[in-house]
Amino acid sequence: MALPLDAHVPSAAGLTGDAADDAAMERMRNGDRLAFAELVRRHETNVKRYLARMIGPAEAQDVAQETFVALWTLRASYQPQGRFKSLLYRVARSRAFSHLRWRKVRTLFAARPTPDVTSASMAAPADGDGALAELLKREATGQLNARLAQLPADVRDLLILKFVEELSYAEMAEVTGVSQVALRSRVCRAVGLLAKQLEHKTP
Amino acid sequence: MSARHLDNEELTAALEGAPSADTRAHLASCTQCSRTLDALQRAVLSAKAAPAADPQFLKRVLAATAQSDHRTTRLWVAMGGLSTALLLMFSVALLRDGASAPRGDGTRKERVQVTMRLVQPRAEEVKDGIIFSTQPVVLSVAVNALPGPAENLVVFLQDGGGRVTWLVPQWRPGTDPPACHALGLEPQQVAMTTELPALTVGEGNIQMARFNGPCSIGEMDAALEAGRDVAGAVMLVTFQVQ
Repeated sequence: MALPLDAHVPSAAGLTGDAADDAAMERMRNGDRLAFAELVRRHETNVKRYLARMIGPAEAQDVAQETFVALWTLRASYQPQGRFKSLLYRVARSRAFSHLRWRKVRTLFAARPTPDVTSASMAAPADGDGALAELLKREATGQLNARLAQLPADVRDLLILKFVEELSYAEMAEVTGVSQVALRSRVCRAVGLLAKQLEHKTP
Repeated sequence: MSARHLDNEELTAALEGAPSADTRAHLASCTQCSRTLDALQRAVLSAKAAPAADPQFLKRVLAATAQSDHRTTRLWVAMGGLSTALLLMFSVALLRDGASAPRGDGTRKERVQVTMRLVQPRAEEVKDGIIFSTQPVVLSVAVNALPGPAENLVVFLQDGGGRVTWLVPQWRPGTDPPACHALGLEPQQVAMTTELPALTVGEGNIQMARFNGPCSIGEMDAALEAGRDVAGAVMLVTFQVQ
């Protein structure tokens, strides 16, 4: 089916957030690719950002693509209970950790270690009079992201889900399969680790 | 409160935007904790920066899903092929067990091969990593037989509800039943195509029966539908759909 890719695809009338996602998944079950396009557009930024913080922006594009393709294949088994966001992050997280494992193996056998590009800046190139200010801002942003990237993946994962993607503990529990009580404790520990990281590296 | 610095729990609550009154008071008076919280907030803020827009992303994803659908179909066909191989091996093993049947003039070879090929154009459901069809399946059955004079062979499918679908020979109730497939002295091949209901694990039983003498499809159908044994069958091999 040819899709008008440049056209704006409106979500189902009157539906927002989880309800709109559920409605789109329902339409996807019947093979509606426009509904799928609507979901991709709505969540593309968040998925790419999550993956960029987990595995680096260079590879985040490909893994984000894999995530959405996996979502398409899962459409038949999806139960519309307002949990689309959890499913999406569960798939993305699974892909991210698989990718990290694969990178570790690849690094072991590579002559030169794979550069950790997690900390690279994701901002678009600057131009014009504000170039210097933009450069400084990018550098500062890059440094902060570099510190986040130096944390272990499981710690980084919790911090991103909680504070960057702003998932509730209930949603995080669905994504990670860990109880909310345990998650609260782990998030506190992760915040402590990040605080130490920032404290040691602050000039 | 001012005697110590904020612990991880208090910092987390502050980062979540819900500090307690004590934490707020501490932050107002403790430069170090205030600086730590500020650094954490800046780190979170920087991590929230949106990725660079890629106008081709959606196009690539849609192309990849189309490829994925194609691969899924091929996987289903491959799974059908795998099932065929298993069924074939299973049947050969059982038929060898059944070779104790009387051997005629000594020139006969007790060998019957049944090959089945599932061709599924669309695979719709994935459960526990296994792809199931929600569409009718085309089942192609080929029988190669080395020989058995005056022997007959039938292949049929009986679903969980007892409904019988005749595969070799192909027959739909409501018409005159055909003769059973007679095994001759020369290798034969019977290829046929039929539509089956969606195959799911445990639901379809493909069965093969051999007879030393004549057999009647009509009588067999009635017996099977009634849940009775098939009279005169030398060997009844059941293939469970995996």
